[in-house]
Amino acid sequence: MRKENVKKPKINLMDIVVILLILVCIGSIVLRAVATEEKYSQREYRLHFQIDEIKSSSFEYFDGHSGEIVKIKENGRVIGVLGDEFSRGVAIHTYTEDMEDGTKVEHKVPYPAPKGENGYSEEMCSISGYILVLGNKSNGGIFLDGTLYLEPDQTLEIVTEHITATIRITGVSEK
Amino acid sequence: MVNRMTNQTTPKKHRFNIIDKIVLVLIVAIAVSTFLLIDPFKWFYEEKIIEDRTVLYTVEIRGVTKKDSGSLSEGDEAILITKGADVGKIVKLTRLQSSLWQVNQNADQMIMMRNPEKDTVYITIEIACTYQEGVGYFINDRQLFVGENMKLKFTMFDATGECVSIMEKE
Repeated sequence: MRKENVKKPKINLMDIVVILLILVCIGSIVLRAVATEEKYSQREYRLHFQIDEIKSSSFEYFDGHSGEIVKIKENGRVIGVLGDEFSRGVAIHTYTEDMEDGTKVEHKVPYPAPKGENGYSEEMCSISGYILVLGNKSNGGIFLDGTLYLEPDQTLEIVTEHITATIRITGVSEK
Repeated sequence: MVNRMTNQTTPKKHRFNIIDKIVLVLIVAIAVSTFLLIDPFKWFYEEKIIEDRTVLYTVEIRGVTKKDSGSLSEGDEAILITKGADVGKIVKLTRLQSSLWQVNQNADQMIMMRNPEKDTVYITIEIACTYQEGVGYFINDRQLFVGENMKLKFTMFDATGECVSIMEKE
């Protein structure tokens, strides 16, 4: 009796490549779907900030510019839009003193209270306000698009359509 | 494969079965969905409106000697040093006594120190630029910002000042 050869299933290199390709594609789509879902689950928050030392005349480039896009100066990444409540306060100058024992001591010195001068003025002030951002609140800070974490006391150099300034984040609150 | 009758080798025939077809359709479907999701040509059709505008920007220059300050006059050329050299026209000049904020002796208050020997000059310059909505004003690829330092060249001297105002010319 002639013994028939049983055809063994052979997996060649091409099959493995195709299977891997399919797995990669499915994986990417799942990741994308999860990311999109996370994006849609993001909420609007107020990212409160303060500028400690700025020309008083700069105030007009925040106040009345609600809705202007705010970006990180270094990389152009959009973080949100300017809010609609800004206030002017006493500016604080911070400097570091080198002590004889090699330590450094930080001093904070206030400027005279601003009168709200615009135009050609050397008056200094502090500005408080908020940026409307989209993200997920976490541990007192906020994740923007799940990739950028911003938290209180962090400083950021930002730009809007008209102005550049260094802001210090002071908190995050519901819109 | 060997033909026993002729003892000749015949080329192996590729079988294109249903599984191959399903796999192909799957790959094409996944590729198309990924392409649609990523949208790689977004940059191509997204509208980017760039318009020509004329702006008046004011630069504050501190500690200018009386001689240099006196050499400036309205109508003079002011060259903003960017990648190229962008020529603007001085349309307004304001001179104030030079001043500098300093920490007082007790280190508890900032005080203004005046220097009657020098001027703080506010120079308003008119210049042609481009405007991109939602982004801002550009001079030769350099964006104009209030709060940024700018290098300027005048007829008699060069100086660095801080932009304190940007206004569109009406």
